[in-house]
Amino acid sequence: MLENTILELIASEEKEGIRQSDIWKQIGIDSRTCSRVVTRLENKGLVIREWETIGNTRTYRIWYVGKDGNGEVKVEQIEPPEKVELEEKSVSKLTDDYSFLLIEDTLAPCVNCNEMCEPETCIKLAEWINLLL
Amino acid sequence: MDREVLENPVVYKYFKSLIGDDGLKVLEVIPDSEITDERITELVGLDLNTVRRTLYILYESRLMKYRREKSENSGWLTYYWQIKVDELDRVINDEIEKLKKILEQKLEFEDSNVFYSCKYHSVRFVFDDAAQFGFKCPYCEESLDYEDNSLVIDAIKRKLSELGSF
Repeated sequence: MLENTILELIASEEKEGIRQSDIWKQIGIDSRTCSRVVTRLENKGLVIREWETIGNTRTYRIWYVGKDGNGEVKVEQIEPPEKVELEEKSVSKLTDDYSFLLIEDTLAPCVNCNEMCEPETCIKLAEWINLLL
Repeated sequence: MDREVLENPVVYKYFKSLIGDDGLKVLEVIPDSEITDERITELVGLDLNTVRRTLYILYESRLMKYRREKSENSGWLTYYWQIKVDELDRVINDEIEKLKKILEQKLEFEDSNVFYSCKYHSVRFVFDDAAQFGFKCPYCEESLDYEDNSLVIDAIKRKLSELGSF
């Protein structure tokens, strides 16, 4: 997993720490993705980070702190992971015209779909979402 | 069925995806009151099987109900069909809830993975799979390119925000 790859890289620089910008450059991913993964690691208490300024650029320096001397994860540093809580609202009140089911004039392919639902890999769903791009 | 109801673009498209163009013709001649399948056939000019198929699909979607009467003389059963227009709002809102959950699932997948794709083949790999193939397309051996999916993530969030999420 990408998370493990990044964690291993951070752990390999245990004393000095590593710049976040060096991580995404080395692995070949974009900075946004790298930031998301590092945030998850931070929330799990496996890494800590501090701001660092190099010239005009600001980045994070990250240290691995995941395990103590007994090889256990430091419980006190673990924070609940970020979770996007979707507000529960009455759908019918918000969508009197049912337009949520449309992008432009195209109905969501999920409506009346009888195929096995695999949103992650469904090509029809991906094409429908692409209408928003 | 009331033409005004079918004028709503989502309702129209919902029925079109459910029962097709012939089904829509059937729907247009169905009154609010009871009607037999033979009478619908006369009104719409389609064969009885198409009419019955449409009625059963609508019945399965809980948008149609029937009552049957047995003729005392011949013993034949006659089916009287009636549309349940009041159910339409619930049925479509069920679809909205279903789509909301599907988009949330898709968003979680896009947000927690990194993707690589081949410029010659329309295939997409998550990081683990791409790494397993040595970041080369298993079909043509060309290098896989990192795929920035941030626009897709933003698009899904934007769509979900129509329901007051995000």
